[in-house]
Amino acid sequence: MPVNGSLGRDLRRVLPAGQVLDSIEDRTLYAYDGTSLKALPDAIAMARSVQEVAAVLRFASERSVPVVPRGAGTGLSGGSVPAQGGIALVLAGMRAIKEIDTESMIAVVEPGVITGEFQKQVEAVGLFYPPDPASLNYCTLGGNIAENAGGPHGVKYGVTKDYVLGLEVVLPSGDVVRLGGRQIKNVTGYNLVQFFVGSEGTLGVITEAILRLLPKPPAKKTMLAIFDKLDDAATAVAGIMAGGVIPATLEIMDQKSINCVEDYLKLGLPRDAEAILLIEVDGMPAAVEAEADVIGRICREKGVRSFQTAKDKKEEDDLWKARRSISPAISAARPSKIGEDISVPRRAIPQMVREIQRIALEFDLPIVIFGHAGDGNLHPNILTDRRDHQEMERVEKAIAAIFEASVKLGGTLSGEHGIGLSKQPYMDLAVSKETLELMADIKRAVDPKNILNPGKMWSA
Amino acid sequence: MEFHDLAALFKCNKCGSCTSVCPLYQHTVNEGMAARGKVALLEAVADGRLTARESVRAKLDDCLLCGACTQNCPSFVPTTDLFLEARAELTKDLGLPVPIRMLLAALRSPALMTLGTPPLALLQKAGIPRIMLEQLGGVLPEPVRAGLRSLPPTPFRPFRSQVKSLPSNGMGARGTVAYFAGCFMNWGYADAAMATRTMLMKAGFRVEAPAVACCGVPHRAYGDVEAALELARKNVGTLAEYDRVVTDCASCGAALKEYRHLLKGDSEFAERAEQVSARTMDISEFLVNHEFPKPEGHAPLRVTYHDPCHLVRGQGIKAQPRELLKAIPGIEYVEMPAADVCCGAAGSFCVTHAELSLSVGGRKAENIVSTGADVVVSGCPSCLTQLSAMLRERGSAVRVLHPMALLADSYTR
Repeated sequence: MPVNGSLGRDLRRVLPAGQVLDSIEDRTLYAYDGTSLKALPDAIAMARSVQEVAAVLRFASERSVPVVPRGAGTGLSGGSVPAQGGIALVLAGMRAIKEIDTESMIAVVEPGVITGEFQKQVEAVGLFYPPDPASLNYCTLGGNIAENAGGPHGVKYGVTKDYVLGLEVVLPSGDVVRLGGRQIKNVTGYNLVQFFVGSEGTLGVITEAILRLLPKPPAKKTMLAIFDKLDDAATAVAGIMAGGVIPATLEIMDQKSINCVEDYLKLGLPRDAEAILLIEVDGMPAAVEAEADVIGRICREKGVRSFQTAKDKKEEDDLWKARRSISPAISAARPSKIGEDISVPRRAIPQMVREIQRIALEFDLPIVIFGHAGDGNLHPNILTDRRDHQEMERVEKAIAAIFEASVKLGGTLSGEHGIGLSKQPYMDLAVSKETLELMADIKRAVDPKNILNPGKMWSA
Repeated sequence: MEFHDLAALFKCNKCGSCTSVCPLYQHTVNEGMAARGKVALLEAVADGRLTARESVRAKLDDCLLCGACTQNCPSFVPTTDLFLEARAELTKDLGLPVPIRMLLAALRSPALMTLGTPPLALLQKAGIPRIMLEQLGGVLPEPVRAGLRSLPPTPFRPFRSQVKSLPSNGMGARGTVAYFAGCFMNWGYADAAMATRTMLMKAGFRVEAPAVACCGVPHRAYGDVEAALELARKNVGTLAEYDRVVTDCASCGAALKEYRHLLKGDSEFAERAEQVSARTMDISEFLVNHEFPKPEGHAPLRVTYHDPCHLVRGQGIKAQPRELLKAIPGIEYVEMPAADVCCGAAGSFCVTHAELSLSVGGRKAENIVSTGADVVVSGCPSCLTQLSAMLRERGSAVRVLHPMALLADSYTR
């Protein structure tokens, strides 16, 4: 790569003063994301407008310098880590909500808008933006789109891709294209919007998005079901869906998660229970009541050990407490955690959980499993110590074994975190050679100089 | 640079949670402002990838030490402690700039502070700082302007000098309280300090205001640990004789309660430090725990409250000041948005980092004004000067008061 100390100096001719950083301290500050991976960029460009993004890409294209788009840097697959150096292009400063159209129920946003902040703003006018990654209080909409982020709402409401109607994208050449639009229905040409959703910053830089909104459901009900047997919990999940109810969220915690939270908080959860389901329904008040009744009945039929329904906001928070405490509980237990993100067909959940438990035994690693039972997206979290190199070798092997098991059960490597750097070595487990070649062809067509986020997703 | 708790540093998994609560990150969207960025720098220093030098210190100094990141960290990284430790290490290696050394030295010289009080008060009364800001605003360097903006309402005589000439307040039916009048209260907010004394007397206590030393918070913040320890020992020596220690300064209170940790390894002082820390209370905490005559007058005011960092996070005191305010007849209490977010004063930060401080303080002022309150109350002198400056800049008529000033005054209405 023709990158040297003059990159920052030259880049300063392209962007306004103060928006280019290249001291070793600043480069250290933009080397990481929410994974343990890090690589120094050679310079950081803070973009404030589509024109500035375009200018940076034209500059980089002329010099064949890598550009790594970055929102809040909270991703969980190394997507915004500048693996091959170059320019970290920071979009977090573009944080305007340009428009909320309550009549058409759409919003126009810049990529740096914080997801949770956006949700608050649309809810203030009676609307609803469902995608809810766990990092919603600090991740950006641009990053969510680039990674196609999900969250607990996935089971009923889908994920980020289901809410993106239009995009403004700067291509590696610096050209600006507008894709899709403000319409719910639109078959005017290729569906290029979805082409960029989840492209992990390898094809273009999103500078504006038109997002679809829903009416805010007026009522909600939260339930907690504790099962002695994992299989009973799984058949209850299937039964709920077959019974005609799609819950707004349907979260599962395995026995290890339950015990981890119990060690940490002493909530009085039964340590011998194999699974807890946290279920939420939303909608019109009457529908919510009826759906909650169905869920209660099915859980009892499937041998639930205890079933609680929250009567008010406080009880709701109490029921969520166990689920929300998993992360801090894990942190309290061991120095580091490696969070995985496999996604399997719903029916394979109990087998997958048991496979992971077997892998935990085989490699002698504590693994807690929780995730989104409603859509088959599980988060096995390996509790470890990053500085213990011997243990980390076992962690690597365990991760590979988890991926293999997932693919064998008809699943895939990642449900909502993306491939980035961390899952890249395993891509050929889940994606055929021909498909990888198609991806490479597309990449070459859009980014012939391979300057946008090189080295991500698959090894070129 | 060496850390005694490296494991704490490596517990940070860069999730980004701290960015959502860091007032400086919110305004700048710059990684260096947030705790995880600073942790990344310290990791790099610990790993030998980065040299501990002035440019690293400059990044670490971009911090209010407000503690919001620490409180909000899902991985329990003790960020504030780590940053204080790093500052201490850097100060050991690199020393401190002259103006800072002068400030820290002045805070250790009560005689000097008392000597400087009347002239400063005279300038204040004559409105000189205001005139300078208005006439020379464009010419003066920002730190000077910030200094002028952030002057407290200096009294002609510091609180402790005033108290000396007052008649003794008798035996006190319920015992004696050592009132820790910190530097800022003593030399800057003597009226509010007097109000605190009044309230303690109303509650039936005999009040002594011993000649205490600076609590050491500024010295610790600048990494001058030796000075902080020396001041802590001095105060522990003075305060250990008392069964009750009360202060009305959020920062002093947090510091006094920390002495037990600071002096843990000091064989001579550890035991007494433990006692002093255990016996220290903020005045709002003390009054809520001890019955006192209910306010009877009538104060028809709309009042809002700003949580000082060193009270709400430093000492976990949130409900008590609000409870006291709501008990004043006539007061309509209204909660402001984001009451517990730092106001941007952070001691001398408002002078050394004026631009950042102004943007954080500006948001705070907007939140205060949005409540339509007549008065904003806060139990921290540093916050009081910042809130006054920010509201004055906006031409707002909202009055800024210490809770004890409002409470004591309500008996006379």
